Amino acid sequence: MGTVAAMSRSILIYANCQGEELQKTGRYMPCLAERFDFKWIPLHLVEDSHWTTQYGPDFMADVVMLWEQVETGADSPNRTALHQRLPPGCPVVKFPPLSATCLWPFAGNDPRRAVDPTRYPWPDSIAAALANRKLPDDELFEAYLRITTEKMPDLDRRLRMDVTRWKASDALSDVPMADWIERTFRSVNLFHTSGHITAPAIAHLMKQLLSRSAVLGGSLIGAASRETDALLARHCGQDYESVPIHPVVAERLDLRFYDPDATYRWHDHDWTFRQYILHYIRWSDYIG
Amino acid sequence: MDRIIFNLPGFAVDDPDALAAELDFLLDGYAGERNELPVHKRVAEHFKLSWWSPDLKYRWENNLRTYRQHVLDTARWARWLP
Repeated sequence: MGTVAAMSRSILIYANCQGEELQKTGRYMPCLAERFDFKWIPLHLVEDSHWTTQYGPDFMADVVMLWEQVETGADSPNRTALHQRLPPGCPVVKFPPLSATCLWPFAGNDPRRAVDPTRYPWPDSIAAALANRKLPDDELFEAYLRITTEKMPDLDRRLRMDVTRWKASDALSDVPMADWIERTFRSVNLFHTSGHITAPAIAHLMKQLLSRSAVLGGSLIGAASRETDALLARHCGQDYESVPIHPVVAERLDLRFYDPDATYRWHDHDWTFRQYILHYIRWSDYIG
Repeated sequence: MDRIIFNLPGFAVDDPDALAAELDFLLDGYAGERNELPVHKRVAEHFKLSWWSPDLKYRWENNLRTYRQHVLDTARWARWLP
């Protein structure tokens, strides 16, 4: 097959921001270069008009496979529009979105987000309640630790709720992830936030999708899986906003990867749990 | 530097102590530019770099590598993901 013909084949990814990580990984694989391209439609950003402007017939013409992230509930109009535009007979592999809420049990309301939604997009309701307390750092952090420890919910129940959600998404998917996440999340950090994932999670999902993509052929699937591991071995995943985990959460969920002194990336900063909480309570500026 | 100055809430030049406190808080945990070249063990020993350790990880775009990993990856010209 000539280069031009071979190049005109794309795997289309329809997913939230996790799809961008899959696309980037796919595009950097030497074994797939000049054979397959990866395209991504961000399902959380796509608008009705995009189906005639950005994702029209030219965009869809070379799609030979769809990796489709599932959502519970009825199909959205965008998902229906996607299916209507796929080339006839295009194979589809469905996969779940990855998320974990049990690791950040105080996610809730913070009224400051109503006027400033992007400064700290991952709300903490206890920190929000301390926003007006004029205390020195040590006292403020101690107050946060005391209140959160007193109000810590039943984390085993929270985990069971997450597992139930993971299994519900698995039931709609060709790629099961629930068992793997449940088996792995204590020993390997899989989540930077409730919806942003680390490199090990991206790698596992990518390899599961590759292994179900017959359009690649057996030898390419093996090579692409090995290259996935190599490309993501040192990678940090979606870490530009990484929300630290509460030490009591780590203890009660037996997170073996947890390091109480670890720093977490927040834009151009590396903050410990204490630093993050103090900056969050004070809704402070940061660089990046 | 302009990014830092522009992020200072008050930029109170008439109150140097307040400005210094704001600057300290704004720079808390600031990692600077994100591309770092690892430092050789002998260089660290020569200059007595107390912050240095062989396990220290250096960021290159969205990757973290130790000195050893950096040398091996560079020698092998390993492909990496931005």
